[in-house]
Amino acid sequence: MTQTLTTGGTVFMVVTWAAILALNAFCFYKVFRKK
Amino acid sequence: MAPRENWSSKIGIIMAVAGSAVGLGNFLRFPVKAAAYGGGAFMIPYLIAFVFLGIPLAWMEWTLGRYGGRYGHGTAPGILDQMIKKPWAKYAGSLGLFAPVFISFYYVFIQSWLLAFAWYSLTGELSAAVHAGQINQFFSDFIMLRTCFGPVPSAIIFLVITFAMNMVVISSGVRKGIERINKIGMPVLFIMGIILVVRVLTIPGISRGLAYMWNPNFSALKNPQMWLEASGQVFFTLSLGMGIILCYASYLKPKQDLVLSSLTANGANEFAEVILGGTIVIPMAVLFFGSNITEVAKLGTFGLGFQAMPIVFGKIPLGNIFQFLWFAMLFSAGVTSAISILQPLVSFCEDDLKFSRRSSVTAVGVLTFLGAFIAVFGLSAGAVDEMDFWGGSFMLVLFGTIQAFLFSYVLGMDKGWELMNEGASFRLPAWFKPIFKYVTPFYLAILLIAWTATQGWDIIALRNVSHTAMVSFCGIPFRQVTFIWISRGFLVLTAIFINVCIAYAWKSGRATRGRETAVHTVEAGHAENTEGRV
Repeated sequence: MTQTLTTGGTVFMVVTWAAILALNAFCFYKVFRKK
Repeated sequence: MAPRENWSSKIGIIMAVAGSAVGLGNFLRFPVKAAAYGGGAFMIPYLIAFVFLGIPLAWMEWTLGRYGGRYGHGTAPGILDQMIKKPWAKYAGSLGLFAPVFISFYYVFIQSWLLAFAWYSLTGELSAAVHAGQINQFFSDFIMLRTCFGPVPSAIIFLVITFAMNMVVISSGVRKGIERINKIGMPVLFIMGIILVVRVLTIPGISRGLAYMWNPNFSALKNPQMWLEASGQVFFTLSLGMGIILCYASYLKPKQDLVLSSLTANGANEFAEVILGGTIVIPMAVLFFGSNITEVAKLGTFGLGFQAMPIVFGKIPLGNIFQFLWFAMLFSAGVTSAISILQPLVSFCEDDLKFSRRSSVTAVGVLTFLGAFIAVFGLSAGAVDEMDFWGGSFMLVLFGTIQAFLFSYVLGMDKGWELMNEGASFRLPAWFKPIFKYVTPFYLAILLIAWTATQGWDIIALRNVSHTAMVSFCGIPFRQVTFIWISRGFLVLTAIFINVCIAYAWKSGRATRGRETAVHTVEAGHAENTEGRV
């Protein structure tokens, strides 16, 4: 098994991670911000 | 009676719901499914299901739960009785209690394995077994009660310790028990997970492991099974249909936000699942097992977590420490999940049977210990598989589907929408309404039918069980088919017992005692709000 991460794999990983991190950043910012 | 408890803070309920959702499935089930069904391409149906099924159904459950809490109910029998106002509704609501009851029978036993393996990581016994090439035997001896401390099987000792820990947390109440343990446990879990992820990403050649997990195979998108597995994974990972979110949301204050809280809990769960879970197990296992990974994946969730991972940790520097972190992280996830499974049962005893908290915890403890007896001694005979199928799979999808239709078509879309947005930190855009009304309920109904037809029916009809296979329970030999039917009989008896309790709660007037006051308070509050808006 010598296959390495392809461009497609990298794109899927980075985009998915970014989407989840953005969702968490948005939510926790709203939870903790002072009114 | 003391007034019903509520959460002390928004972050408290968010951590509690996230703690319930984050469990073994995040770290073991998700990566196996993703790797088996198209790698990166799996994320396409997964994210579609997350947006159109997971997030909306979670909002519906939170809304129904907060609605029930206003009338003093934290579980489905009381909530359905209040909503439908028909004599049969409370009995239909018993469906919402079956999942936590059935799961509680075996979950604590599995949770105790994690504590034991964290302990064995510290003492070095696990590493010794790995180096001797005996890990499979070590795991098998432990769960089959052949490893002993003196005359007592060590699995029983760890089970009793874990059981006692759960009971202490539950008996301390919502704020001092559940909220406090989640506020501590969840950040600790995330820190341990991030440390493991950083370690994995710095292993030379890890790109080969990540490739197995993430390189997309677009041809898999044509496979309907992949769409089913992705939807099922989203459903299971978010603790939907288990009655847990209903119960936790019932402890919200009447006007406390649920839109942002639900979304945040879901986001935290996805962080644990995709970023932590997707990076640790499969990439490491691929790196160290190479082309044997397909065989390793066949070990299933437990084999991967308890047998394959210790071997992997045995091959990296400071593996003992990371191995301990791995099991400690899973145990931390197990604690927060276990208490969320027990709380709906405690809530039913307190709210509908009007038991004190101490009596409620005692009653739940006795019931779950009885079920655990069958799970522990019937593990090799298939008792846990049977409880997991009915409690951890079938009832979830069934009750989740019922909830979606209840929200959209019984409570009504307009009332449901208004209730959901009350006190919200941000209002949902109106274009989400058709998703709640049409997409989510029918998506779930299709999932239920397709899943039952492709996987569920084989299990229900015992097609995968050899009719000549023999098993042993407490030294008594049974045909496996007979033992499975005995296990099913036990679950049916439990279901009847729950319905007898419901009948007693309502016929004695205990379940509805104090409801008039609650209804009056709710209606007065609603009128006040309406006047305020006018």
